[in-house]
Amino acid sequence: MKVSILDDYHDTLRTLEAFGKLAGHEVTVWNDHVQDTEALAKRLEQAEALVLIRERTQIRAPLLERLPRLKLISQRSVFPHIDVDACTRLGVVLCSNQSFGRPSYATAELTWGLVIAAMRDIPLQMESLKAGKWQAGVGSTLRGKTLGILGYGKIGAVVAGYGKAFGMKVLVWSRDASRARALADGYAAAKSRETFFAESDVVSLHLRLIDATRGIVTAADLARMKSTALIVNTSRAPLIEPGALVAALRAGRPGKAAVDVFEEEPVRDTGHPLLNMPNVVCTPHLGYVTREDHEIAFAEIFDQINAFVAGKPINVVNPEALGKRK
Amino acid sequence: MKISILDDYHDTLRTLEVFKKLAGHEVTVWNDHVQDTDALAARLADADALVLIRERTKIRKALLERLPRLRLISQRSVYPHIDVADCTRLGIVVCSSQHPGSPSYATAELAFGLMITAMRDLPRQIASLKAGTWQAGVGRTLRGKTLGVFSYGRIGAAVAGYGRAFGMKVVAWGREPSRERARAEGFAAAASKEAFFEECDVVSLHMRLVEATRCIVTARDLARMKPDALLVNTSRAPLIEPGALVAALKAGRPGMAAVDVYEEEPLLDIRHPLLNLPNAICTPHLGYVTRDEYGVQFADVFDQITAYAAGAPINVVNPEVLKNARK
Repeated sequence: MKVSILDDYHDTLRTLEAFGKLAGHEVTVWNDHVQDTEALAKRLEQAEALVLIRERTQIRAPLLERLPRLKLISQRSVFPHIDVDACTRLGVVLCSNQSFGRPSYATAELTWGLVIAAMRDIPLQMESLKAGKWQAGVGSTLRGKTLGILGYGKIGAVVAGYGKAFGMKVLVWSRDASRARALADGYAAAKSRETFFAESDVVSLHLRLIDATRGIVTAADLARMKSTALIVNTSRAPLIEPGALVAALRAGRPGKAAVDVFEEEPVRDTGHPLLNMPNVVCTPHLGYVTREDHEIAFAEIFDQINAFVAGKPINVVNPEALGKRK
Repeated sequence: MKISILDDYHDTLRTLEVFKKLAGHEVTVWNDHVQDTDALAARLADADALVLIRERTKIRKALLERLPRLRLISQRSVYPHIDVADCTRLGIVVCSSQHPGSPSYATAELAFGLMITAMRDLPRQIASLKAGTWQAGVGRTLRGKTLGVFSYGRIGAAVAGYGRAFGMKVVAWGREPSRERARAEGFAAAASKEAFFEECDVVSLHMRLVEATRCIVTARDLARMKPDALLVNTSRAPLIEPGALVAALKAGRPGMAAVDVYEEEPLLDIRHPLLNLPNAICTPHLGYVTRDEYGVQFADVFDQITAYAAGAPINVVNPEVLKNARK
């Protein structure tokens, strides 16, 4: 099959062991990011299968309607960026594994790296050293402090485990089912949402973005945080009310933030307020961006292509499309 | 007593809860770093007691002989920067808690933070984002990798525990007693020093600097490391042979280093080779630099002063001095 891969910014996929699974297919890899429908239609006009990396490119009806040869979209995890109804109508099968048993350790590890980087002001301290000024201030120890985990799912549970190993008090705020799981795992649940934000020295968000979680962290929640506290978001930007984080940081509660996710990605605007605040550590959505996590994810994505070619598609999101196959 | 405190770079001590222990004393705090003997002699001319922050200022014979009023030096941990024999001769009591039992968790946390910072290339990624170019490459996951802890002392044990929680395979190296302790606590010990440097994806140094450990990591050890391995040094620079780390990083084995400690501190020379290598992440000796750690350490340091003032000095390093101590 003619397979097109979008948004492989660093041409990493070819270097993965899993890439061997595409042997025999005619593969085109694009390393830049393009969202323009014209440009995408041109790039993908020959493509029979399309591989997407996370939610990097939106695949909407106007584009899909211009891709007559497309039979399959293969990707992993959630798909708010894909017009699934249009796929079904046009007979494009969407395969996206969502039942991975393994949490994204890469994201959990990044979260922890950001917690320490922010608590110790590592970027600022490095700059000070490189400028010939030695130390730039005094950091905070994690041990003995309170780590608030908002959303005790797979990644939240891993991060809670890191906090425990670092001698932190772990406090969980979550829906009833996952709160019960946190209690069973030996963690404390906050008495209320108010105390969760008021008591935590570090709050880390680990929720999927769905309608029920959009804007779930409000300006009022942030205003309850301590002036020395840190909020870490490696999940999704819209979990926080639009604009609330920047306003809260300007007001000094919480005192610090570490942010890996943005409302619009990729961020190309160097004037973005979060990039210009001294009390914020920002990274360009690196959560899942490790070779090891790519190996796991793309083994699945390429398996989906081979299963489809073999006539036994797996992880099909829109089985109705199978009947309309081109 | 007139107490002088040197090298409190960010005027942090006054803001600590434990500073209250010095109530009733006349305290002078210096925020800059000075090593010149004349300047120090002028600053400390009236001091009865001197508080030192770690090894930031060297207190040598030439200076001590110009401080006729000085009766007490109070600090914490090791004291290679103090001429203790001269203190004893001049009747100056040196008190320095060796803090048995409690590792510096601040240092262990920093070591682990530097590991993730390096494996995910955070400085370059942050710079790329700020430059409007989004991501700058693909990082690596720690889980499943081999973490080498050299050696398994108090801080090494804390770092080994973090590694285990992160799903890393932890291997210890060091003298036999330290390897034995690692095995007793459920970690593996490497078969040899060679195997240790060859196998580890991350090597983190956790040793005191004593004559036996000076240059304990040689150019040959570093050359055995993998081209994608990381060396983390939050202990002391002279544990590594002079110049060996820079040469090794230039040669590509190990592929990366994260360094918090330098041969000369404070490091103010922006041309220092480590600061200018793309594969080295450098921080300005932040290991123990947290408010929490300062709180713990200066409770000890100030308690030593009040105990001395009460006539019952504690943690005295040179007890011989007590017979002819200055009054």
